[in-house]
Amino acid sequence: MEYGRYLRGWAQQALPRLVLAPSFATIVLFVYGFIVFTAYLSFTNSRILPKFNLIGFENYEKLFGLRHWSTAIENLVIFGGLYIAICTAIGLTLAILLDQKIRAEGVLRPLYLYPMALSFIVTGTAWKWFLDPGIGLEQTLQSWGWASFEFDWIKNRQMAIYTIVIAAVWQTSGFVMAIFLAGLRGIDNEIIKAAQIDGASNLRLYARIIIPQLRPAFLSAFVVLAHMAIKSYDLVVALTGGGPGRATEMPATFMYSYTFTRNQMGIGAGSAVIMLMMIAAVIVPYLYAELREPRHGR
Amino acid sequence: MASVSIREVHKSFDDTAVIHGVSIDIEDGEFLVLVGPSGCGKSTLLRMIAGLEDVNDGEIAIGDKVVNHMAPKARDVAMVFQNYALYPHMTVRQNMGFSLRLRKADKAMIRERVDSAAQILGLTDLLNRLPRQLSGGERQRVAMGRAIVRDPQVFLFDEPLSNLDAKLRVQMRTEIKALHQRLRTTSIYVTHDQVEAMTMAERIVVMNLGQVEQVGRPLDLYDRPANLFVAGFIGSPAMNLIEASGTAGSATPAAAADDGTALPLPADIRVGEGQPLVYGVRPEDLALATNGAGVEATVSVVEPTGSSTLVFCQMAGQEICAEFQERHDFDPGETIRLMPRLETLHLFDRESGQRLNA
Amino acid sequence: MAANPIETAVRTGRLTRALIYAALLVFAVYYLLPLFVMMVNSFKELDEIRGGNMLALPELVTLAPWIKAWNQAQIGVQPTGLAPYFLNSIKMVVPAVVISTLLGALNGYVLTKWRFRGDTLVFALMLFACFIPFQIVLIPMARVLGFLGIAGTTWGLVLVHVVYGLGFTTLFFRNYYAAFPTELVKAAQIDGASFLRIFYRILLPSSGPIIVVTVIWQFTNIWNDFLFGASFSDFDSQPMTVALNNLVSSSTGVKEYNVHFAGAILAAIPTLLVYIVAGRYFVRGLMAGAVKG
Repeated sequence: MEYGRYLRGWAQQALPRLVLAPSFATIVLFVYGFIVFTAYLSFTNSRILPKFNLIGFENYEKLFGLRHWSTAIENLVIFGGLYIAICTAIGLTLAILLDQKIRAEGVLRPLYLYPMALSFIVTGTAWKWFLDPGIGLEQTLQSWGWASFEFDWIKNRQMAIYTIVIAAVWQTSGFVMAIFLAGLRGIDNEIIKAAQIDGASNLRLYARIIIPQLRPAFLSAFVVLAHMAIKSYDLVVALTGGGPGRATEMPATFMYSYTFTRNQMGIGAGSAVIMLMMIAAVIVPYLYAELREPRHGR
Repeated sequence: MASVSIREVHKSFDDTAVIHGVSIDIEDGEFLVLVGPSGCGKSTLLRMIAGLEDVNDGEIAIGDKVVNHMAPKARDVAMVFQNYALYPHMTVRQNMGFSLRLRKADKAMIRERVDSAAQILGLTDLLNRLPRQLSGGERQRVAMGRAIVRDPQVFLFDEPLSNLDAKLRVQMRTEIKALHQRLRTTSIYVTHDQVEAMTMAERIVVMNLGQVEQVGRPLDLYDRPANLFVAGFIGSPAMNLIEASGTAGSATPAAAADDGTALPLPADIRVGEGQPLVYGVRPEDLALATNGAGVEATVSVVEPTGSSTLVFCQMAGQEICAEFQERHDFDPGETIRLMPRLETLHLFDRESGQRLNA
Repeated sequence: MAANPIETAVRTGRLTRALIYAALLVFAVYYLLPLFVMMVNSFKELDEIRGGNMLALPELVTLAPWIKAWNQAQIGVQPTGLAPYFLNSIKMVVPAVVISTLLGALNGYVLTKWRFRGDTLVFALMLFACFIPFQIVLIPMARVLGFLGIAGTTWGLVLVHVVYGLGFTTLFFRNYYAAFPTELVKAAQIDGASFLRIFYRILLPSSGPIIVVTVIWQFTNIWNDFLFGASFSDFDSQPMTVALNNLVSSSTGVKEYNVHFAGAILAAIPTLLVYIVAGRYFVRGLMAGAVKG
């Protein structure tokens, strides 16, 4: 009787963890197990199919010797840098402008944000043809009488990467605006009033009082944008297909084509590991800081 | 209804011990108050009785059953929480009937029990409201109603009045006491407010740092605090505690404060020479003395409360408080003489903090 | 969030205000332009697009591109249009959203109301899973789906989306339930409610907003996914995004821009509709994914 009660008590206590267990086990297997598996493959000479004999760092040596990979990394640096900088600039500007008691805010804000609800494939399709010199913007402006107007970046090896920046900024800058707007709305109005009484001009108010208080918003925006930049795949595929040539290759497209079309699975796995390391460098410190709260009583 | 028995109970969170061997026996039908400063372990103890926290060591018994490993629902206790813990999406009636529904009680019976509890608490007109449509006092009553409906063995109250404003708190205090006198259900009531403890309890348990300091009836605690902690905790304004030592030589026992001021002692007490003491006297036990008797004091602040006058002054090198029933209008800086009532003097050992006089 | 969104203490002059409105309008045009281009050109004849001006309204409105995109265009082997792929997406999205939301709710409940040693670490590991580049799991996932016999099927995609959506759904519910008073759970325990009953009688009835947020977030993400769809589907299970990309980038034949635009809008309609109907919740999901609750 006493023992039966004890057993029931144990089951009641263990039940919550039993409920969580399947999800957690799934994550451990499908995320961390798979990461280990892929990392292992990156040290093998797997081609079409996985092989399990280790060959050391050969794949990584090959990877960093490949011109495609250095193009992909260069593109990621250009794209990532511009994407983060422009999105942050536009997002912050829009947020500050919208925070001036704009009557139409309720209409404007959703307009700035709706691209976030679209698939990158849709975005890519729209911009692909709009930027196409044969039918899009170039032709339109020429037909309006600006005969010398040229805009052929999407067909230009040097410039194509910037068209991806344009489309990506279009899609996410509204979201960054929302992050900053939430940050602005979280600032104590009394502080702003106090600064005004102290005689601060609007410009100084923003530069010295308001923007410095948006640090958490800057951090969130950076983390989100950086990790999206590293992962960007769909947009490149839809907008340029990695072309012209391989001019807009990115790590994500590189990984896919080396693994599944060029049958260099070992190298593809290596590139995926490098991508994971880049993302982890951004995300892990962020998550650590966010979750490192003191445990208070239950 | 049942007695509750707590035997040598220990509890720690992670690696910090919060309750070190507490034993209390609560009689059937008694209203017991657990009082102490925040962090003294009183709420944890209550939650252990409820079954919301594990017992690391020792035993808790309700009636004659040890309940250490029983789930809360099997213990037949009801609890009133500090924030009332009313289910926000259920009406007052549903809130009060929830536990009976879970026990698959008969619908008509639930209705009847809820109605009668609502009647007792004056909630009849509010039965179909949602918690957010109620005032603080009404929510408080619903929380009590939810406990009454169960007709449990034991009521547990976890600082139920601390979210109410001062006036309502006094009113609810009386209501809870009246309710207990009517139902005579064993009740354990946790509070950090010693006034609440004094006014409501049949017996008080004073806790500090995870241990029981003293158990007793309210006035017994007030009149004869067993140690320095209880002396300082029970009573408002608090007892004056002056560090002193026994002096020898004279025929009658005497003591001197650390600055040399002589303090009178009752004749029937024994203190050794140089024995470190704490000399305790309640504010209302200080009387104005005439023609050179008593101890000299310098007035710093006078606070008239209407019913009495509080005089804060420097005496024996220390800030003390005297409470007079009559009105006085001293000037700051004025020198007065105060005579402690020797029959109600409290003497403690400075090292152990324990009471010395009987 | 501030109670009143219009509340700010900064004051501005009249000229400044005019400039602010002008700037805001310019941005509105920038964000609307691609949608406008897709819209107007999806109603034009192909010749009109080739010869004319992408920003002009159609001279002759035609529904032909829409009809073609929906059920005639050649994608894959058969000239089926996008219709069957639209259906594939729905068959994939609905179960994936339901399962991942339900599991996320239970996980969030356990992680906040039944805390245990190491729960923060468990949560951190689940949360990190939201951010990994999915390239790192593509190779083993393909093998596991094959091993389970669901490679190239809609159920395979459902599994993938549930697994990699769990981190986010758990995050949403955990942050929401963290603010839910624990005393209510304790009160219900004393009232005699069991673990699961507390969940569905006490927490679920108060979870409406977060369920909406989670469902919208999962729906949008899964509907818009391309990488998993491209990696793990066969012709008969391809989701809408993959089909749209095939339609647009097929290198054979004439480029039918009007059909592509119509197809793109068709692919965008479900998520846009959700955004229009419940934009507030959509934004809350975005923010919860970006900033801790």
